[in-house]
Amino acid sequence: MSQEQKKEVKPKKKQNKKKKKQNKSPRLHIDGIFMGYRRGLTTQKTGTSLIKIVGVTTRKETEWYLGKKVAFVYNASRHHNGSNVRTIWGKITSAHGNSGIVRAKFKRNLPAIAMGKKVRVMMYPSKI
Amino acid sequence: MSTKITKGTVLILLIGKFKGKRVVFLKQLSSGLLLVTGPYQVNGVPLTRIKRKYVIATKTKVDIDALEVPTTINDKFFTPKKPINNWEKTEEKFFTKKQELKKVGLNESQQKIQKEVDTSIVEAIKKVQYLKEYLTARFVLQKGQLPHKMKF
Repeated sequence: MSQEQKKEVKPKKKQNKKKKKQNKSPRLHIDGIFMGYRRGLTTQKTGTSLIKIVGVTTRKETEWYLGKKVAFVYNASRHHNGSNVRTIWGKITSAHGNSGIVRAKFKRNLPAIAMGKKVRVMMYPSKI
Repeated sequence: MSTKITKGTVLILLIGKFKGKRVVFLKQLSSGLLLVTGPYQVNGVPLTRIKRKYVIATKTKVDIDALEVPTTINDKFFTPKKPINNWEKTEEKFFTKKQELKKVGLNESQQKIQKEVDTSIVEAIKKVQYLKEYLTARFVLQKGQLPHKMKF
């Protein structure tokens, strides 16, 4: 190999450094968990979902959250309008029981896969 | 409208491009929307309108009782102007990328109106300690913070 060839340095592979997302969107929602559908022992009514809002443990505390919008955010494989993130919107309709669980109705019923998954409870419509 | 929101009240925006930002309330427009400004110098929010339900009213108030918002800033001021028809018919426009023509920030006329409204507000903000830093900072829900237990 001639010296010239030796000097030929292979171009370094571009290190794919993940750019830190600047100005990340601030969290303006409260996390909740989709517990399941409204149900009796043997039958479930998929039209109404039960949401457990993190940090809400009594029926009185749920008053603030009534009427607030809820979003179930999930990823799909197909990109649409540049993004594969999709949402199902709904709203909190009423309290459920005495321990802070809340009922919500979504525009399209939540899929069963979502059980145990996070749901975002927004702070609007705001009454403050 | 509720008595909580008066001229100079600091509001927290919950939706849109400026969500989380703390802004100063100016007046309620005839359509019912709230007219609000950053001020632009302080946190980059220009004169905008928002619905009452997408806003949290705080106890904090900026002393701008003397300020009179010009009547030219009304709902018509915010309605988008007529779209450019015959977009592709001009050769020059056809070959320039749409991204290059996108406006960034405020144009001259908007800047003028913005300054007109904002100068007295910025002066009032400077008089109060930490108020400018407060308006620059964004509202974020941190771990363990529950809005039903917070006092705004």
